[in-house]
Amino acid sequence: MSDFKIIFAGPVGSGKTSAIATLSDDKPVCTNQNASDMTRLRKSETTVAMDYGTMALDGIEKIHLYGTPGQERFDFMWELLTKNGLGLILLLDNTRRDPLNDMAFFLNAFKDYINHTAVAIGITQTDIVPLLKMDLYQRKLKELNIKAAIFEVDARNYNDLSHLVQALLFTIDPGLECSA
Amino acid sequence: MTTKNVYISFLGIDERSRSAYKIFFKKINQQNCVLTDDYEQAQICLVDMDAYHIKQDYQALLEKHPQLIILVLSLSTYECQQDNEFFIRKPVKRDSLQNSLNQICERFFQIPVLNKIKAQPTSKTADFKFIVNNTAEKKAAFSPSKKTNVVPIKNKIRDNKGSSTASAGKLLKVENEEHFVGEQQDIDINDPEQLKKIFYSPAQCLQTVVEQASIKSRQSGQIIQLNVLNHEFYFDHQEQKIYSTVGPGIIRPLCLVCIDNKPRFTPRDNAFRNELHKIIQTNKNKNLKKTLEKQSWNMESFMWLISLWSSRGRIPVGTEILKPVFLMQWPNLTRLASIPHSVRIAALLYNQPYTLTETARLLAIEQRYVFAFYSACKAIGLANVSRRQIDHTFASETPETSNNKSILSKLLNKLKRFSDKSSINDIA
Repeated sequence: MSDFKIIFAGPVGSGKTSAIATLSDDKPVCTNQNASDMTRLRKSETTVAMDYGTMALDGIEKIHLYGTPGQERFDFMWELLTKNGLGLILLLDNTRRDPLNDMAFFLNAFKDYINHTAVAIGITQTDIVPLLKMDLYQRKLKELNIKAAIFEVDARNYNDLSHLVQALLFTIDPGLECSA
Repeated sequence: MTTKNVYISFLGIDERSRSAYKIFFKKINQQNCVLTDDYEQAQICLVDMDAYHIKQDYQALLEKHPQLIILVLSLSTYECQQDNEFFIRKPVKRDSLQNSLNQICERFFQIPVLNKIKAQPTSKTADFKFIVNNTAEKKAAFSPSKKTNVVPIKNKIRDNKGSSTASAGKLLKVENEEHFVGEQQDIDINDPEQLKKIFYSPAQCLQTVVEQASIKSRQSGQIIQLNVLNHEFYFDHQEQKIYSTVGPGIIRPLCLVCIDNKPRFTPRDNAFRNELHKIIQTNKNKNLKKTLEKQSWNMESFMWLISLWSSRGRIPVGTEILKPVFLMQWPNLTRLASIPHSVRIAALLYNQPYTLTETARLLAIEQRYVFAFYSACKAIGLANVSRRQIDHTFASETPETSNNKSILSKLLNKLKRFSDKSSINDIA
């Protein structure tokens, strides 16, 4: 049986848990704990191990959705989770102090993984802090020499996430066909 | 291990193309290619057989430097006359050029080639021809491998109705699709009569007036009130917003009207912004109650939408259809009106430039989807015809395919099943 993973990464509060809950067929497994550090300023609970959801495909195959914990001290888990992954969905919280720096940090942290798969980037919380200029993100991506789709997304909205995952899939292979 | 140099010269190749080849030779690491103007030193010479007066120059070159291995480049088929002549059809495919260089180096200069690139399968009109006396040797040396490392996405004849390819990427169902992409059939670009049908002139449409108002707002930093076709629009570049006194039901047909009366652009002072906020907020509340159509827009979404309604699956007049187009960055597709296949088209064009018709062919979709996407991206400044010589000199490469195609396709299917129909009111 061949099962594949999509990894969701991003800083604390960027919507990884919500995104997985939106896409997953079943109620996702979350490992939330009361936040005890700086995270508490942003939200009361945070992911400490990982989030996990699945999307059942035709037949017996499944796509596993893994959300990495956002805090840097859990970075040892990131490498473990990415093994046999299809690609990376990077979510960035537009309300954070320096989302561009967050983007650079995560793209660098997952550099090896991205190099042999692909990445699509979703900017979240733009309803709270409107995104006036997507160009800033695009410019940063160019500086980092990474080609990726960037969309504004609401992590609770299925269509937004569908677009983002499609962008990831078509970046991997623009000639994909629906199997039906 | 030291790498032997291979000296390459040019004949009939202009400066810009030379630069393009220079980049190509720099990027390949199979050989250490050194470009030279000295034909005595050169081992290989690239000759553009389509250049002016080339036949005499070429004859002179052959007589004076019979030692050269010649790579003839031409748009039309060239019959090789000498053992040291090889033909590559233009636009040059990188793989073909590198493969022929590898083979020449191996055969004539005894330079072993590591990680040999396999040639594309040849069609009836082969793009790489050669003459060698020994037929067996010819087969062994130059017959292209059946297995290639790049596989065309789709070469089958398009059948958009009900085919799985046609529905791939068309994952968000679009309300009244024909308003955005028209109903124009695919055309043969070699037929001038058919070619006329794919162009529209934004100059006579609302699209240009809207663009002018947006530019005026950006340049002045003020809100610009636009009066056109008996309706008002307000452009606020600072907040990236556009407010209209009418909704999409009225604006859409206006996009197809030829504007005779001169539009009026009136700058409004910053105090007007508060008033506008109030109007927009009232409007938003009304929108929530579904009593009124959408009347405030994100500037980019509005320009995108106006372009789609104006172009309806066509491209701006003057677009060079035979030239590759590039996509500077991905459009913010989750906040723009959906066009079928937009994600696939964006992924392909963002990876590398292709001509518009080639894009449609590679993705096995109707041309109108690609034309609509290009027109909308051009309207928001994200796409244009490529002016880079390298994109004209070399043929676009066939995009890579994934080993996990089957699973990715199934996932696409699943995403399609659960996506909702998108409407104008969903966009920013």
